[in-house]
Amino acid sequence: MSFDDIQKTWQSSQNQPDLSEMENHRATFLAKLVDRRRHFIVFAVVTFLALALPTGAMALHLMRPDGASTSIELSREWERCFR
Amino acid sequence: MSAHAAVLHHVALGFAEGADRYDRMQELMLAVWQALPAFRGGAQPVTFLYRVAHNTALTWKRSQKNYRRRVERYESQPFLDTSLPEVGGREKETLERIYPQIRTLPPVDRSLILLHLDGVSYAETAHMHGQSETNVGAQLSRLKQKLTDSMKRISHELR
Repeated sequence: MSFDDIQKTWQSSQNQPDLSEMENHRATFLAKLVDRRRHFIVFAVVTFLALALPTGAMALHLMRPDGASTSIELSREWERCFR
Repeated sequence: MSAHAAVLHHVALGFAEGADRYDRMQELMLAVWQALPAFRGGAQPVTFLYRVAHNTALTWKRSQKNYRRRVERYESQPFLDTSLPEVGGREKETLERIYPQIRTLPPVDRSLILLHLDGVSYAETAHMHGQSETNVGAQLSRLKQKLTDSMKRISHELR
């Protein structure tokens, strides 16, 4: 067997991917992409909420009528949360 | 992607076997998908695909090197291979012997011979691997000889 024979065999139709197998690959791949997108959205929402909620709480505190007059004291705020 | 599925198929089979090749195929598809935004149309799409697929396979190979060493010793046994679907024909039998022989080669040699068998030019191969054309030519002639010899040896052993 020469290298030309090997190359000829390599380029034959037998060395092409099976259509049903490729379809299967495609379906799995698309499912994986959808999964990744869903995970990204969940991550983005959780991150956004984790940042936005404390920021919003702080903004509310400052906007209260007496908010700006009293300085923020973390221990007091902490207690207020659990009261 | 579907138009060039054979490229991914050859790389997946050249770098993995059995159930592993399914995961490798998925990894290759994902790598191509992620690399698509970087494709500016400067090269032929198929060249781009070869570059991404071979880089992914080589990176994977490097990271799995230690673990895979023992598995490769097993893979190098040509008659234990079950990576190709059961379809009759002499060409299929030959392919079932070629792939395990390719998998016994070091990863870079593997990539070089896969590119050559797929008909990629020396210039493109050299560009992908960051080597000179002369160097690629020399390595390929050694690899072609090695592959031909091992195939001859197997055919001889079968008689």
